[in-house]
Amino acid sequence: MTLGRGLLRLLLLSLAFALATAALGWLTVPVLGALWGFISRDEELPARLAGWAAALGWAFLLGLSAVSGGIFELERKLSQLMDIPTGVIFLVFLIFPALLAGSAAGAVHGVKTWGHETEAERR
Amino acid sequence: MRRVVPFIHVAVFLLVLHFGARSVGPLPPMGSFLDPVRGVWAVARRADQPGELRVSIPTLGDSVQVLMDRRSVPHIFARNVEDAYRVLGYLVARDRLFQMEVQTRATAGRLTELVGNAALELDRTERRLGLEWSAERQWGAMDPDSRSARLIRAYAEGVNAYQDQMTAADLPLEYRLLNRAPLRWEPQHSIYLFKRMGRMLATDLSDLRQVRIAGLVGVEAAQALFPKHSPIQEPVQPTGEGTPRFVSFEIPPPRTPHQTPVTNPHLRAGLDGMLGSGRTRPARASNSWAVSPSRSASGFAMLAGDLHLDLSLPSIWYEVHVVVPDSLDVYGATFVGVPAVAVGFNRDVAWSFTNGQDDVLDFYREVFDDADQPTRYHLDGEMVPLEVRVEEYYGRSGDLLAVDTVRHTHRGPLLDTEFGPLSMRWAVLDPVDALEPFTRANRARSVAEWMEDAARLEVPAQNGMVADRAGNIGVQHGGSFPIRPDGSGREIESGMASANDWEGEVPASDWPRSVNPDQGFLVSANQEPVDPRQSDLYLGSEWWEPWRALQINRLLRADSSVSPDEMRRFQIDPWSYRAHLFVPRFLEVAERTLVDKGLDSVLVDVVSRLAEWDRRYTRDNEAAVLFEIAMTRLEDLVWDELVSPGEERRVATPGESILNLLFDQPESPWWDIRATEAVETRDRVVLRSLEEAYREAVERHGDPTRGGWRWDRVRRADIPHLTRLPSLSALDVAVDGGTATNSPLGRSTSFGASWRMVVQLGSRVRAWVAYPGGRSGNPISPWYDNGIPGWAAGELVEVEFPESPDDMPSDQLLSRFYFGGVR
Repeated sequence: MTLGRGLLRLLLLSLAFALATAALGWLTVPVLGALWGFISRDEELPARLAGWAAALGWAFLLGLSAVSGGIFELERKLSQLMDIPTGVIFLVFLIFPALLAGSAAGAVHGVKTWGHETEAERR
Repeated sequence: MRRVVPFIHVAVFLLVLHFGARSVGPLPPMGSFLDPVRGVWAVARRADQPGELRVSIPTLGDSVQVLMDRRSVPHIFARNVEDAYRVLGYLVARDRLFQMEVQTRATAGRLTELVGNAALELDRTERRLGLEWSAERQWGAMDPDSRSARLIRAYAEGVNAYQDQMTAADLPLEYRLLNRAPLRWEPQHSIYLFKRMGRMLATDLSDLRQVRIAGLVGVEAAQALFPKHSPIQEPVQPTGEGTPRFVSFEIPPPRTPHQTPVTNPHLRAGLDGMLGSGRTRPARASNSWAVSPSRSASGFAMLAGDLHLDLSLPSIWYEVHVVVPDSLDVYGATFVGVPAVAVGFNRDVAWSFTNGQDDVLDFYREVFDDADQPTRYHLDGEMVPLEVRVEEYYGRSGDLLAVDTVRHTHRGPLLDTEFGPLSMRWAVLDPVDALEPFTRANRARSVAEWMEDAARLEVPAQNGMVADRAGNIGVQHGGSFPIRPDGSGREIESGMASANDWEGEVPASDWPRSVNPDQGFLVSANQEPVDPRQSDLYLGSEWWEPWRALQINRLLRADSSVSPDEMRRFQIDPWSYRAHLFVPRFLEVAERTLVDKGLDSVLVDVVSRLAEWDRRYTRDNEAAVLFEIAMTRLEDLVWDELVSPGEERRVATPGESILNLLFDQPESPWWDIRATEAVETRDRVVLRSLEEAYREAVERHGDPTRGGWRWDRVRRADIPHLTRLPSLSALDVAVDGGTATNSPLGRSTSFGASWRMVVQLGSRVRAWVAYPGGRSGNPISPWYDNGIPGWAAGELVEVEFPESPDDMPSDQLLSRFYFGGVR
């Protein structure tokens, strides 16, 4: 896969995660991740791509919220409340959908390809 | 490896999904919490307010328009009063939904259903007191067609209309952190809030205290230490003498009582926790005063009110302006959850309240058929069945945490105390329509009419201060004052005779009141309402020390042409009458000792600092901390007889006006310190308190030359969030003021002026207000705590008071909200 095509897939998948989350909520993340895992081929690294795309999609949505202001102050107050360094919540915010989507994609893809050896493994 | 990877993915997926879908420890479910559209980030998006909003409330009879001014205060323009309060309910729910629920649950004793087992003891206290029980009874008995019932229902409809329209993105931050959905608002929850105010403001424990103190030092001494009447008379109703009256009397020495005092510290601690100890003043007090045109710089009557209550974020108050043409045009502070302006003004009158401090709570010693499992109690020679109420306490998941059986006599709930089971007769539990007086007062057009309307105010009793556009001023001490068979409520009565029950209420015609006094002003600061030489009516004995009353009277006497700005400055005046009285006392003793024996270097420094002090609790002063510690040490040394054997804390502390009396009795045995073999007299104890105060101040605050004694480093105001979470609170706010100054800042640093208001009633009503908070309960909103800086600086902001939407200057308009399709 070329870099360009890879980026395009990433962006489109990110958009899908963003739209699905906006429409139906966070549970669409594992559903979409699982779907991606099902339709992907091995060389498309479905878990990795799904993880990155989910994080990017959510970051995009949060970026829209940031336009109206206040999320940085909110994050700061939440960090103080939870007694954790500022910024950790943003990090968790990105890691959560990434792990959820990536693991869903990887699990489904792994089940789908279970027992199927790759060409290289057969040789 | 390839075959292992899917299992790893499955494991990670299940783990992350678990965190996403369920609470883990204190963490809410991460999925809904972190959701970028509906999750916690929506709190930030909702923080600001829209320029325009269109809302439908199904039960609205007609369209309503709301203008938000530059301070984000809503001005409601409606065509009928019920619609106005429907919209108010909607707006308050939109801004303060969590606060409404916490207040309601706290009163009802149902916090465990929100926060779990940690609140169980609090809940048990409230249920035993019966506030929810009495509110529900009251709502059930209320005429559904009465004005109060209709307004309460209308308000509830507005609240619930907002809840019905809420989306996941609208959920307040606190609910997200707690992983809870909001409580449905019921109409009777408005009544809960009145009960809560009564709980806060009308809990007089003088009878229990007197019994405890008498058990330590004898009845005579107990009555002298806690007299019915203040020894410094500067009453609310002016005497016409133009000066305070200082009463002197001998304080009988402590006597060893015949009986060993009843000391069950656990039961006493339990009761103290339930009702407040009486050891220190409850932290609820206020100032209000009115100035007639003859003493006003503008020639118009003026009124000032500042209500001293527990400070919180969001504020206890919700500022609003309500207009219904030909019916209502009122501005002021409402209680969150109540459809009426509590303190404020209309086009004709302005009013404020200070707590009456009256005795509306008595205890009765009951005798039962069975001490362990009572079912009946003795009354007039017969055995009468007890009323039984079973209270169940549930946790967050609906799990049953505890069950209590609360028993009632005809007087009220039974409490376990160190004196045995006592029943409470408490006016707060009586079924009274507490809303109607406010509703009527909101429409009053004159002092006379207002005082007639406020005459319906029953509990908690209040000093109502009022001024009108015609130039009249008045104050009335009004409420439900019980008539007792023995004339006084300062003893635990026998419950076996109904003859000991309250015989009725003091008629409104007998309430202390004053209208247009010759002196041209009226002052109420929780002091005794009337000089005992003018009335022997027993209203209570728990009057606040008169320090604020003395200072406000002093300021008004000295100024015959008061301006609104001077009214503001008087509200925040940091000068202390208390210090003015006691510092010379300290210095006199020290200087006498200096002449006789000389002083050590510590006392020389103490004397120098106190002598140079201007008695003002300004932020930069460095003497107040020394004075405060000295007063505390002095009280500890003098009142050591009031500590029960085997304990460390005093049972109660006499007022400082009694301490002032004692200064003129230098040989009194009260000066003797029990822990020493020597017999101390006044001078020795005063010097010791000064020495110890200095050493304590150095230990706690460092070398006095290094700035550590600055008042704003020692004491600052705290305005905690309802949850007490520091990140949502405003802590360590530097302010002027100290113990017993006009704008007090006591040892409880989260108590102070929750609302300040000055109103000038002329052809055009002008008003200035401040409070330490803002309209919104959203901690990210610019309207959450925007009022704090100005409030801390003692500033007031002039309010907009438009008669119609067209009257609002365009540069003062922030938003328009349309309810029911107004264009």
